[in-house]
Amino acid sequence: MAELLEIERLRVRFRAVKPLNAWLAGIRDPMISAVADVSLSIPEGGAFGLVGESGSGKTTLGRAIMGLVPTEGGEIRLKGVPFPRRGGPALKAWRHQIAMTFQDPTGSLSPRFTVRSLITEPFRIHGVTGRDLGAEARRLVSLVGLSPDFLDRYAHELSGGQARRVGIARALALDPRLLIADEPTAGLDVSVQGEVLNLLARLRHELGIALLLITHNLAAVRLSAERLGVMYMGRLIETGPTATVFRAAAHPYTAALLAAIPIADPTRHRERAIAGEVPSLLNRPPGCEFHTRCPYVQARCRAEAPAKREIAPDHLARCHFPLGAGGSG
Amino acid sequence: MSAPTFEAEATPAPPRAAALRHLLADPLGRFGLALVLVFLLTAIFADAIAPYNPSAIAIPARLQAPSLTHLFGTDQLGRDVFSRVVLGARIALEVALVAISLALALGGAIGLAAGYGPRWLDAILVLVFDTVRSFPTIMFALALVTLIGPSLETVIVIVVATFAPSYGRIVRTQTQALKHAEFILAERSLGAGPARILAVHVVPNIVGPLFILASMDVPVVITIEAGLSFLGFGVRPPTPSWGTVLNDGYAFIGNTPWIILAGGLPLVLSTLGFTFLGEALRDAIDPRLRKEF
Amino acid sequence: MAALLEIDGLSVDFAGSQRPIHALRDVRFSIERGRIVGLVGESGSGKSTLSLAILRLLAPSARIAAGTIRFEGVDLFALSEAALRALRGERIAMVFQDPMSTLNPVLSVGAQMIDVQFRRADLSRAEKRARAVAILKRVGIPDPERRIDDYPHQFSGGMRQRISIAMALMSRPDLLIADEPTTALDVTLEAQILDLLRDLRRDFAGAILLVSHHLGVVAEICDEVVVLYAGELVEQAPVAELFANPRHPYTRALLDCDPGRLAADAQSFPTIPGRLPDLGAPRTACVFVARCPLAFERCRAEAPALTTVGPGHRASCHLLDG
Repeated sequence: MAELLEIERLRVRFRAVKPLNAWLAGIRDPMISAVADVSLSIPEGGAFGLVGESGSGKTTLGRAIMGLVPTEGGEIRLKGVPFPRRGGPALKAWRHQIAMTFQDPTGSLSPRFTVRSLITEPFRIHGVTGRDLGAEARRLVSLVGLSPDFLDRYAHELSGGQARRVGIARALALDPRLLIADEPTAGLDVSVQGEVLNLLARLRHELGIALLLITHNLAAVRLSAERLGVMYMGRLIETGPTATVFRAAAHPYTAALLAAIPIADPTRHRERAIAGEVPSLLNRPPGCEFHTRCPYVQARCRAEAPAKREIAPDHLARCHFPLGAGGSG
Repeated sequence: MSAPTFEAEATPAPPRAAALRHLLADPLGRFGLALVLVFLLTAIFADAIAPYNPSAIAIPARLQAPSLTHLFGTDQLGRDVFSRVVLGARIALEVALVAISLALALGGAIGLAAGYGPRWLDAILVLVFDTVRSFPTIMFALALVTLIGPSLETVIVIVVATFAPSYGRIVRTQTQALKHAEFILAERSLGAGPARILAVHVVPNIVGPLFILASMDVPVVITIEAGLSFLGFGVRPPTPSWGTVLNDGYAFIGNTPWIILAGGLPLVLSTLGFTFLGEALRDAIDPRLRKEF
Repeated sequence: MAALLEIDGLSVDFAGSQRPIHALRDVRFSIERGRIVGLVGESGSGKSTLSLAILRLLAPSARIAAGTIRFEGVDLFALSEAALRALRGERIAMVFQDPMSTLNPVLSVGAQMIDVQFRRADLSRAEKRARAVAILKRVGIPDPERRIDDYPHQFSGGMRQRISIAMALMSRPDLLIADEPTTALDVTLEAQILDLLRDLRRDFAGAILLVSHHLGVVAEICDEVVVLYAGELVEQAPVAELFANPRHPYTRALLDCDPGRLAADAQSFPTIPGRLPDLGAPRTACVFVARCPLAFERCRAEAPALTTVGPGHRASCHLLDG
């Protein structure tokens, strides 16, 4: 199956500290790599779960794919066509094929627009003529499970879950081939998180659209994406089929994430939480960047950065001693 | 992740009716509104209200005390002071509206560019703003008057130069804040270009507070115009302005004080009115300041 | 012996744009000494309102419509402001969701922790500082002697939350109210904080009221659980009993939705369809009726009362009383 989206060794850097302050504070490199050497691909109609905690770079990666942040090095290809760095009409065409929903559901909707205007905005932006915008609005709104009454409401009159649906409807207006959903369950009550995730699954089936699901909620990925990737400090430290990773995570960080999920069963206690916190991106640890917190750390981990290792076909991890591969303690 | 608030009631902006009710409930707000209305009506219907031609000289009737025929008396050239004050209100309003609108347009346009555009553009424009703002107003006025002579237009230019940089700064800050707002990011992701984003998404969201701010500058502009005209830099005789009335009355303050009172009182009252109204409006629109329950 | 904290018939209203919103209706439960009670609810449940009401920290637009809260027999609502201040931070302490709002950004952590001990006139400044360092070490702040002089922004979110907890526990309060202490944290940090609270329990003899929207968090450390829905108490039980034998349909549905309980062969995510009822309207039916899969006629006509279904286990559902 042809790959819809291919990302190869992508890098995104930001200046975190002003040059003068950096010099004063003795920081050699004021730039941080929010995304460092990330490669992944998504087939047509496929779903990929990008998992990580705050600061892992997953949101930045999503935005880089949309061209909202500049990238340095590496390539993004959509159906083989590289990302148009020069902007202009090619970039606009790119954004016709990929759409994104954002973490803050009401914040991502322009406050003075009705739902109808919001959903049909993409048509106006891309100068699509010859379509009955009213009909399109009704179609899109019912596609996401909202009644047509919502068309006349404003963003601040919607609940979090409703606003998310509007964001999804807007993203689907021009029939994109890939939908990037950035934290679609953030801020939602547990009892309604499933609504959004089930909606995304249904849309995938009905429209054949591919999905990049960016989330810190591992459980959401279990049913929503057949493959997942775990990010830590801007690097993809493990990728593989979701079921496999859940069953037998190879990287200790992935295992820690899985173990940290609170279990709604008072008779079972989860393992001790992993110690420490994510190191500052300004001061990346040498060798394997996870070594400062890894319960299985060995001398090699402190000195040498691990390359991607194939644990099984299509299951990769950046670890010298992947779990269960006979190499860890 | 935001703290859970009331999902059932996300605080929407209070309906206009409620805001108006709160405005009218505040006694200072009512007072301010009344004064402003008087000012506006006087200015708009000046021609109908003024009983005499404000420039009509009648030396035999000079320096008369207020009476039924001349409500504020007459000045040193026999002109009816009341008519002059009424027409002066119109001048004041004209200058205020024109000057503030121009300042908003100019400052706003530059502010948008500075706030949304690349850093180097922002740096240059901010430098321009700050340079213009650092000129003391009086000196700038003097220089301008020397160059192009005193007139209503001169006053407007001076006001625009004084206020445009401040408005520009405000627009710039608001634009910068919005630039990183999630909905702007969303619009960019949909393919919208900067022109569309600024016109359709940024400007409508900043005009509200800007408008309130600008309307609170109206009394300031009125005072500036009066001041400049008083000093002889503004409106030229025989055009009546509160400033020129003040100037006329100043010379005769000893035995005919009503002229200066007539020039000064409307100035004070309209400034008070706008200030009270502006504050009451702001309190009415911001529901967080409401303390009742 | 009287309970440490008794909440009796508490009803709290907020000013709405048109009519009052009933954030809490007739909530009644108590917290015994040394117990950890979990208060679970989703948006609109009123759980944060309740935790703020205890220390009378509600916004001015809120009003105690009915009921009392008694702390060691003393009616908290009848106390003068001065008497209440004597309790706050001393006998009843609170930890909030966002540590950045608890900590003053312009004072060093040490300054704040010393300041919090202002009532201890018997201690010198050096002694107060030493106590602060000790408790920072206890909550897992590395290198506390040096870091105590740092400012809040120099700490990460997880550290700041630990500092908030440390500050709250400095006076060894009888009751610690933790309002969503881990909601803003990533899951690995959340796990650390929960481990910390479990550890601290050994030295800290006070009771804890842990407010959370996540059942998993509650299952980890609580002794008993109170479930709120739309301002009403719908179920209360010892923790093992609640998870093994939930009697209220909302509790059951909430458990089903927990991501940790997802069945291996699930095809889609379970949800609770529908929305909260109008919190401004008077209650004539069961609060959960609009979303309950087991609702029948009586549920629409009459609000159920709390029925005891087991030791320490109460729930309000018509299905429970014949």
